[in-house]
Amino acid sequence: MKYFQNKYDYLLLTLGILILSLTVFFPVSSDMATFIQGGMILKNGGALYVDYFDVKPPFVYYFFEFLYSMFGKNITLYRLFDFVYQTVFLLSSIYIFNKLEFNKTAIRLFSVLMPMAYVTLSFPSTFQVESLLFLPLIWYYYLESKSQTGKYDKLIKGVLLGIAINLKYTFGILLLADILYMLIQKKSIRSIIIQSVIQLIIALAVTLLLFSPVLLSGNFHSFLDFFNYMKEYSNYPALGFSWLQETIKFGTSFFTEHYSIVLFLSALYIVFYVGSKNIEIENKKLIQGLIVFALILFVSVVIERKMLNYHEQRIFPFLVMLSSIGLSLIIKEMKGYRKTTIAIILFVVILFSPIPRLLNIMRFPVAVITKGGRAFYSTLTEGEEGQILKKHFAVADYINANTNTDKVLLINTGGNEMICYFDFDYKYSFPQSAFYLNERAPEYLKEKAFENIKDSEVIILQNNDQSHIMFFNDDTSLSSIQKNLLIWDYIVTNFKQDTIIEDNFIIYKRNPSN
Amino acid sequence: MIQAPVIDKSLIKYFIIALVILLPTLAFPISSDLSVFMHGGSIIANGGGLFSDFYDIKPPLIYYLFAGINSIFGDNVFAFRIFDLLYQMSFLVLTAYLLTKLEIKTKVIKAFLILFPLSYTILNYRDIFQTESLAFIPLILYFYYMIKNEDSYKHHIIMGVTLGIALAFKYTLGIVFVGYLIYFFKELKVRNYAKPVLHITVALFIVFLSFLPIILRGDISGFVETNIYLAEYAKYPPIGIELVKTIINFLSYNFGTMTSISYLFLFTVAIILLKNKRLVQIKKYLLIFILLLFGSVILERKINMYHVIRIYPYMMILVSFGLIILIERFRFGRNISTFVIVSMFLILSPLLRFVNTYKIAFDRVFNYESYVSYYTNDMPFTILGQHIEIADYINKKGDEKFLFMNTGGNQAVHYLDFDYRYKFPHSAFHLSPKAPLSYKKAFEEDLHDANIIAIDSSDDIFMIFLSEGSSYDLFFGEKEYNEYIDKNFTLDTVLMDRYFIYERKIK
Repeated sequence: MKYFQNKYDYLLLTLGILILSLTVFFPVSSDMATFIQGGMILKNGGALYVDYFDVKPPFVYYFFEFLYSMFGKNITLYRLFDFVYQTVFLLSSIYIFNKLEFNKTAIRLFSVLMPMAYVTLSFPSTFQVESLLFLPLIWYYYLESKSQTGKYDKLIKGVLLGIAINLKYTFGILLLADILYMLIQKKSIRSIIIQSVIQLIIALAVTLLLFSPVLLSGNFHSFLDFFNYMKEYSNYPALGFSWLQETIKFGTSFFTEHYSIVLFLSALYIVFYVGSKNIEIENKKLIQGLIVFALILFVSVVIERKMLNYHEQRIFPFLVMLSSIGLSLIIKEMKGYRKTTIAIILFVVILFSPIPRLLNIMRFPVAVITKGGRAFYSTLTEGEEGQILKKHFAVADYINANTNTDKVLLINTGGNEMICYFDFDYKYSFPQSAFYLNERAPEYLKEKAFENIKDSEVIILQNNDQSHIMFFNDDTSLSSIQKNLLIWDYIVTNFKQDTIIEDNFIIYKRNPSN
Repeated sequence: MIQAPVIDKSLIKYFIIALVILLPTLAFPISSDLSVFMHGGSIIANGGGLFSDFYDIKPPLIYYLFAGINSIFGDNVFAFRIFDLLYQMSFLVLTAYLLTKLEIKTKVIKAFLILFPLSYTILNYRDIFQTESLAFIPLILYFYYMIKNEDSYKHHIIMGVTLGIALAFKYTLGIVFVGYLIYFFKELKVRNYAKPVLHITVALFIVFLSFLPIILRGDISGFVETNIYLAEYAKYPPIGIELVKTIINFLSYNFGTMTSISYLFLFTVAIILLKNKRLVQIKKYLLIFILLLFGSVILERKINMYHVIRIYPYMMILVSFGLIILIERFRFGRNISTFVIVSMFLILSPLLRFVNTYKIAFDRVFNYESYVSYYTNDMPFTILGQHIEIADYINKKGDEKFLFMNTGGNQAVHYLDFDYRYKFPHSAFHLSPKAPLSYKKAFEEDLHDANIIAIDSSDDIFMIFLSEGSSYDLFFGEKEYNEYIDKNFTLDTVLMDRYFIYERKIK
């Protein structure tokens, strides 16, 4: 059945795409800057795990190398790419849900609610590997859900699983979701095992392919070393009662404050409805599939132990569809209510929906157009570090105006946005100083960092970037580096403090004699 | 012969369960608001007058109630907590009785007797035993007599009394009268206007009675000045986008975590699936009352959880209906839906918080240090340990003329070995630039009488001071006070880097 049957279908999709287009006006986020830095270094001939170190799988940086070769440091183009990508995902989802014969009202709601849920994550949490997962995810679900299996379905599912794993290793949990989904569909154990093994083999082959640049360059051992070191981060925070409390707290906060109470309750309503006695619901197994995928992906967030909004968004494609189906049922139940009653209910529903957040996001295009990007972005905050973008702009401006070298080294943790605003390409190896400054850092990383310092002409050192999650203590880049006597002694001997920008970024310049 | 409905005997064990659920509230310490009420009650019980010997912004009834409790038990937090427990139990028994009379299924009432006390207990020490929770009984009675629709003069007098008591606890609770007016115009075929006029007249008369002691003592001018100050206080926070954002964030947080997702879910289920013809009208008016009271919270602009709980008596009835609908309709089994629903009830419900409240109660009895440390943290009002330390220090001095100048919570005064005698629970009332002159004069009487003064230097709460600065900043910002202290007092010590203790020089 065709989805586009009347003007409302077009109107709602247009509205959805318009909502998505708000992301084009978002500034760079700290994570995006990290990805761009990786892409930039690879594009300029650097090698992963030799010239650049970060926690994500290699594919992410090769993908950003490709983007960097097209967009350079133009953030709007990256945001535009994300907009196009999310639009393709939205259209794919509409196609898939329609093909699977989900309720029409639910699909219509999805076409608006999904963009709303995504956009209201705001700039720090959009264009993450989790949001890049959406597209392979929805097709993966479709291939298991469609009634007629195709010749290459298993192969494609394996490829999609492989892509997912190479966006983030923990996305491999999708295979478990798929197995559970197959069990719900009452497939035979034998067929489940065969399908899963085939998928796994293909996914591993895809992984091998996407690791090939690292393998061919002979840097796989460096990858393994760094990967082993990164396990320190995955072990933090420690499991225990406090972790459980925090997990519940942040999980609840995500679902109620961020995703919104109304949408979350709608999703729970359909879960209840599906499990109700004496109710025959269309697509019951498909809905159970949505529940399984949402649940298993949420479990993967809990396993990662980092209950951050951008991590939790991985469940959006399924959660939003569940909310849409739930909401369509609720709307159906409310047919016949008086207009005044509906108006009052609507007022409360809007209050606890993503709409107020969306209205807040709508200031982005208005402010960017009226005030200008820089001026507006300078007022934004990410995390609890104050108006960090403003500070990054100030440092970049100072460096561009007062230095004539590209040997500028940034020593900070938590956000390296300024590198996107330097007039030159940033060349050094670490997006997070904590990787080599924390007490558990391996020697070879410290040596690499020392090499960077020895090569640099200008150092930017942050004094307020405490991050327990990164440093494993309450140190800053400054206090950590001061504890490393060899490096600090070298800086004191060979560099001179030039200035401090925005109270937090100390600029050192190499002594002329050196 | 039609027999009057009696409470189902099987409910008795649910009353016991409710009591067990409410029991940890006895272990809660004094909250900042409770401290103010107890302070007012103590002054009045010792012969002082409201708005002449004690100043606060709440309507008088709460202080007279606390004076009554104080005159029986003294200034004892445990006695006050027992009173609250008994009050909430009375509310539960009464509600169970009224719901029985409304022919609501016993299982719904049983659910109510578990769900309501759970939701109340997990609010913890700051959000219970407030004027809102003391209004639960009048609010449920008011609703019952409206929905019962016997439309007799007797019923309207009772409604008037209950409305009056609710109003006397908090003026804005009077919004439920709008709910009655909706009922009056929508549901009554024969409208006798004399009856609502009678019931609002009775309500106003009750409010008048609550002011009678003040009128008789000639302290009405103090009340008027308090209201002028209150008008300033009510202007904050200013109306605008920021306020809307704050309201939405705060409500989303509190509904999500304190009321809990599972309760909201059951509430939603009840709204959607409660379709029994007889019950639809009850549902409709419960919803109207909830919306009106919710609207009154937003109008007040002070979005604290204890403000929100005014909707609980009505909301929890619907939540209870929701639970019964869920149990009746849901097919529990080894499936994904059951897993999600059960997980929701285990994790996103008040259960985990409730376990924590029992831990608090356990610590109160067996591990007092841990208990005090739980209530002493970085949050601005959670400083029980500090209050105890101040009181211990002052008690050692043995001088009862102790004046405590702080804003946001004067719990220390209830840990003293003697009855605190001075007039202001919040120093902001006399130190704020917008404070009435008469308040300043009343404070100066205290100042001249006191021998020991403690001044808080970290209590800068703009919302109450209506200006920047702490008690210390604003007090010493006034030249006259500065000179007076310099001349008559010496700095004894600074406790916990924030409380400056001054002692009167020996004449």
